[in-house]
Amino acid sequence: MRLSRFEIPLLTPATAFNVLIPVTFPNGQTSTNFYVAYQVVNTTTGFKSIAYVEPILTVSISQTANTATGSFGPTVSSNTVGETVSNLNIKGDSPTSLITNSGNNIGTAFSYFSEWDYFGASTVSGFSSYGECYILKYLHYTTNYASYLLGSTFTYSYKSMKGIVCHCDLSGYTTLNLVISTGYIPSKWGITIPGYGAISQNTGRLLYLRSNYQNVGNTPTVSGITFPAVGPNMVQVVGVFNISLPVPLDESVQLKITGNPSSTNLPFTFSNTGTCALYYNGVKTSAGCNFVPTPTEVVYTLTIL
Amino acid sequence: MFTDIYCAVLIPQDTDIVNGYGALPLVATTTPKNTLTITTSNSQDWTDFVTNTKPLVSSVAASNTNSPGDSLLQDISNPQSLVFSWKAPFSSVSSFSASPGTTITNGWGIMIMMNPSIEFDMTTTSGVLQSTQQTSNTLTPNVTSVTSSTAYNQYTLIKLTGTIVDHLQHIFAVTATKTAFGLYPFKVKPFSSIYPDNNCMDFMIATVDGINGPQNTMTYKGYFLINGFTQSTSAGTINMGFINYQSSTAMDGSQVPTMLRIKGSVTNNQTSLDSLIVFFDTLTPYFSNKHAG
Repeated sequence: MRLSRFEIPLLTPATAFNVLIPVTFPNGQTSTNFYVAYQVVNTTTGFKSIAYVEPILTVSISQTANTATGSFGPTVSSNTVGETVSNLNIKGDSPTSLITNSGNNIGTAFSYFSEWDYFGASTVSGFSSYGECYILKYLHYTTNYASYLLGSTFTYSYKSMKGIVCHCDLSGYTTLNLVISTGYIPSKWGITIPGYGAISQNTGRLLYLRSNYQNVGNTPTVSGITFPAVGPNMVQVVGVFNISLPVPLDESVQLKITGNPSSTNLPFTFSNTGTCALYYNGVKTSAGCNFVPTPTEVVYTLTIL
Repeated sequence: MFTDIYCAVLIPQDTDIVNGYGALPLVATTTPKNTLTITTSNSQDWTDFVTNTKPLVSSVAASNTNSPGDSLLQDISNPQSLVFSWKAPFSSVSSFSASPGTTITNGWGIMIMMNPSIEFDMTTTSGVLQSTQQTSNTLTPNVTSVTSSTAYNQYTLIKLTGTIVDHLQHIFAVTATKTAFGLYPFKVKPFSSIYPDNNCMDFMIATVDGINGPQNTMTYKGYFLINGFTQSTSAGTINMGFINYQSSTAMDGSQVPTMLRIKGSVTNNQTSLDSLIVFFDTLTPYFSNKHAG
């Protein structure tokens, strides 16, 4: 057995701890071995010693998750893209009754992770009857480096993941609604927002894994735009639309300006001209812009840099 | 960084260590090239691979019991037995005939040299080393501790000696048999170090034909090195396991991660614990995102 190790500093004085370490395995691996040890430091000499070693633990799991059932993620069907929501619900219903954690069977948990930070600095409630929840984040970064060395174009995936893990140390459950005191719905992805929920049983087996169960209900709309005075054929742009956005924007967003199809004086008939800019608190920000006009609407894509 | 590094090297079992010292040192001082590595070599057939019993544990009593899960306990208050468990044939420790009653010229002995921090307790048994062996016809124990700070070498040396082959065949039978014997009383002072320094708890052992005779007639037969490792009793409770483990297709963290969970509570030695160490095989932790905090 070839063992590697990592060290986890303990606070002084050490009391109770709950350590979560995101890890990954080779495909098809069903058995993994562990030792956990305490390390002490002689405060006089600085010598480090391993003072205690727990008996070896071998975890053997052969499991494929169900990705078709379970309801997980933010309840946002009545919310709007980009909205800041008080008491945002995160659903974590389990199709299977969950077993209370005990001994080394401490894997029963609901997990929810996303590349978008729904939590900010909020508090999370709704789980105290079952155990405790912990918010954590990790970096997901992968490349095709091996094939890149053989001539493929370099590709990578980089996501700063943030989420929550709720341990069923007191009781199992079947229905769950976590409540984020102040939740943030992103605008980058439109109505289909990112995030996955997972249900794990006490032995650590992943039972259910599924993406968000709801899309955001509404897209933001702007009204009361004053059109600049233009000539009847709108041959040239003669003014500026100043649109105050109803929600915060993050990263790339799509902004669609739609005319009234029944109008005989469509606001946009131009092509290959026009600019846009983005201002934040009166200051022009770094942004790119392109647009696609049609007889009845113009779709701007703002790229916030 | 280190002033001295002790290295044990692989030595053929029948090497004449006295005459071949220049070519094959048992213990040598050298300049470290890899300061975190020490290579050891055990003599042939000197461990019990069948049951994986640890070759050395300690027990807070006069005992020769080696139970699974035991270890060399760090304890400065209670004297302990050093319990050795071996399965080695007579032929690997002596060149004399195995016939019962055979006299060994100038005696036979096994020398066990260790860190002086494993110190013979002079008070508990009035300065007498007790040896707990399986029969009354046993080897004679003797112990020497050199702990003076001005001494050129500091060590604790135990010798077990006999004059006929029957004496040593209770530990080293003609057909190798798992056996254990205890030596009492000792106090194990510090925790063993994880680096090669003065707190290493290595036990260097040699068996010698003619141990009571002149040095030029002594024949070293077998060698053995044990990396002693001291522990305390558990500081509390530790539980560990996985969350979100899927075996068919590995969880790569793009959706949710598989997590190793370690949960525990510390009830004693709270101020001296520095960190948890996790030893594992065949998994990869994620990197922390320093840029985003």
